Amino acid sequence: MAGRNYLGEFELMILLAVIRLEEEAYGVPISRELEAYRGRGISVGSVYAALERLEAKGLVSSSLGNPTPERGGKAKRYFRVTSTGLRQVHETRRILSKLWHALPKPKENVLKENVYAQR
Amino acid sequence: MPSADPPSLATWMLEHCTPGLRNDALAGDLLEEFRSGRNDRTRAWYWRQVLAAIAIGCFREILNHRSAMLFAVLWAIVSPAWVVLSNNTEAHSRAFGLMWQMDWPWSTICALASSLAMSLTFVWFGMALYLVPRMSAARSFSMRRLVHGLLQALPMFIAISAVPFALTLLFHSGHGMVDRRTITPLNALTDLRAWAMVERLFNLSILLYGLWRANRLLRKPPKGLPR
Repeated sequence: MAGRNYLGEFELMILLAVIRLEEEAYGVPISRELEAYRGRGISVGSVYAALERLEAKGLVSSSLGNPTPERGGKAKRYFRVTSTGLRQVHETRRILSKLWHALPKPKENVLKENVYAQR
Repeated sequence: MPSADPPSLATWMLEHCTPGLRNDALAGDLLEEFRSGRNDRTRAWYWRQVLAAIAIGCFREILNHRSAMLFAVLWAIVSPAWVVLSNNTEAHSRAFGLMWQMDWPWSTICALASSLAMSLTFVWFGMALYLVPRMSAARSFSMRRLVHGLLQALPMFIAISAVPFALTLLFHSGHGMVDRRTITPLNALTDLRAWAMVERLFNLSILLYGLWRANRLLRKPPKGLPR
């Protein structure tokens, strides 16, 4: 099979956010989505850097919207996952699922220690 | 009531100091978030976002130009050896001997000009060594494009050309700073004294700037060539 490019953790999160947001996937909602799920702030610049890498790999495509006065006359850049990107996401999920299922079950005392630590 | 406009200096920096990233869309997003009315979208938040975007853009540029950076570092390391070689040539050259016999200030002016010319020759030789194979591999080599690429180093060279002048004085002084009679080009390669490190830093700055600009220039397709 041809060489595969595996997705990094952050790139996978961004792809999933773009898929979830469908037509409204641009910088602001993507960043807010990641902030909500990660539980901590995120740099919008890093989101754009990752989106540019994904676009260079052909996993997303982008298009410019209309400029608006609320954004200082600057247009939104909308992102969509390509069919290649969608395949890559599902392939990554398949591999991660296999790895998770192959993980040995933690010992009971380790689980109990974690439960007491969280209380 | 909080201001509807973000810090103007931060906005200016975002638009002018962020290499590579899609500045307009990013700037629009940050402005939209700042004006969204959320409690955590403060001026401090805006500054953090801008500074992060600049840092990320600079890091990406470094990654995109890492081969040029590596070459610039290696070529700069060799530069003290070039200084020693050119000074030894100067010491044994009849033309330079005649130059030093000229009246002041012509002798000093000629010495300075020769020092600058030797420095620029070293920089351009290194840049050509880096650019020619890359241009040939990209099938975009032409003398005009090569010369255009080499000229990219000139602004930085002119801006900091006081350094080779100071080094010339240091190197030629009889006050024990550097005794050029005891230095060979090979010794100069491993010389870590102030004059050698300043020489390396000087050449590194020019090479980094020149190769970065030349690389960006070479990414554009050649004009006038048939498809």
